[in-house]
Amino acid sequence: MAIVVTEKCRNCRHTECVTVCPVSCFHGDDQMLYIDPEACILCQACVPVCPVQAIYDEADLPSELSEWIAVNAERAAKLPVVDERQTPLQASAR
Amino acid sequence: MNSPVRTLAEAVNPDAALIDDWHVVAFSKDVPTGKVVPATLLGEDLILWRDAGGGIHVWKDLCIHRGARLSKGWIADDTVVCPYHGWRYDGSAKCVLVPAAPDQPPPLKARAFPHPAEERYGMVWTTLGAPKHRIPVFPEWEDTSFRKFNAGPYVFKANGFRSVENFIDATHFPFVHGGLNGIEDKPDKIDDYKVFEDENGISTSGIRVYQPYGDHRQVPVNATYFYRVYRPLVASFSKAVQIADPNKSHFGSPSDRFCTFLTAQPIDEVNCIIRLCVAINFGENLTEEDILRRQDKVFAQDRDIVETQRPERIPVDLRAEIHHRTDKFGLAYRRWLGSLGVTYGTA
Repeated sequence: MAIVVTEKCRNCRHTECVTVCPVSCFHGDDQMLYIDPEACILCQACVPVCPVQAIYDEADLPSELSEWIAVNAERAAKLPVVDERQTPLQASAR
Repeated sequence: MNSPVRTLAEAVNPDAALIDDWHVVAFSKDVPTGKVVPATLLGEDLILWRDAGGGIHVWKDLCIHRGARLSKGWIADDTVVCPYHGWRYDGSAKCVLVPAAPDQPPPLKARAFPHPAEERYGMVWTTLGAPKHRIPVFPEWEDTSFRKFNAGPYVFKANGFRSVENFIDATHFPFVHGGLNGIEDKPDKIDDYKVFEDENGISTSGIRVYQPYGDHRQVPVNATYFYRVYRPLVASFSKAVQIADPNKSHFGSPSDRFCTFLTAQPIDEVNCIIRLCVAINFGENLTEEDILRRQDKVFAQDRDIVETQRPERIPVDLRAEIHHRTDKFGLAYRRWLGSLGVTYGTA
């Protein structure tokens, strides 16, 4: 079990999530963030701070988004840690 | 057929990380010449005594002859006397007299069980094993601009790791030490800080808080804590204190520091004794009584909360309990304990 970042994060990078994570388990590319399920301690601190509601506890993940469990694990393993706030991407302007 | 006699519950074997480490078991001043002082470390009963030359000794609390406790004995002619048959052991742990056969040399096997012993920072350190580390260095100890005081001992009916974690936690001040180290109605927002790991343990960058009575001068200060954990049960902070009122700040100096070096003696998994060496480089007019009064109060407040924590053993599974971003150092401490292979005293 872990916390999972989903599609709505794409082209967002508001990154409130990384500023509250106590274990620096977010990894990212130039489009979105992913959670390392091994490092995540399931504190759920990131879930309520995401401005686009892209983050779910796996237990609450809608079934149509279940593919993101594997995507997070695979992508996080290959990407660098993001633990400081980033400049939001244009496409995510609210 | 008789069953084997068992007087104790099944012993829990402490991990090598704790066995092969230095622990404080007394203040030096509490082990005067002529006295046998009992102590318990990681479930093992010990005696401490000081010979006529001032040397400190830490032995197992056991006479090899018939298993009596040496802690019930006494000192005579610079030897420890077993209370059962009066066998005498000298500073080399050798039995030098069997009173029932005073004309014979005692058997060579008649020896006490000594552990290594050192004195540092006004404290007696010992180990049950073979430490791979030296006794941690408290840098202010050698700095003559600091006055040093021992505070405690504070007996906590609580797990040593929980007690150390409390010491390295800057977010409990407004609630546990309200009016002293924080304000309950106006708790500080804790800015993000960094955690480092090196060969001397784990440490933090500065953590800044406002303290209405932040040191012994009874003036509000802005305090910046730099924490370090050297070994699982040895930690310190160096606190930079700046008088908060700009009109009074000239009464202090930018170099004002109050430092605390803390050791937790693990009696067993769920009981410990806290001892401090505090170092202060300001407030020359503060007396030892002023310093100790405040330390006693703060650690009584800490004890009252730490003794309530459940489970009593600290969880090192980071998914147990909740770690907030502001708990980063406590989280790092638990992770580090896990990496050292500590299971004794953990959940």
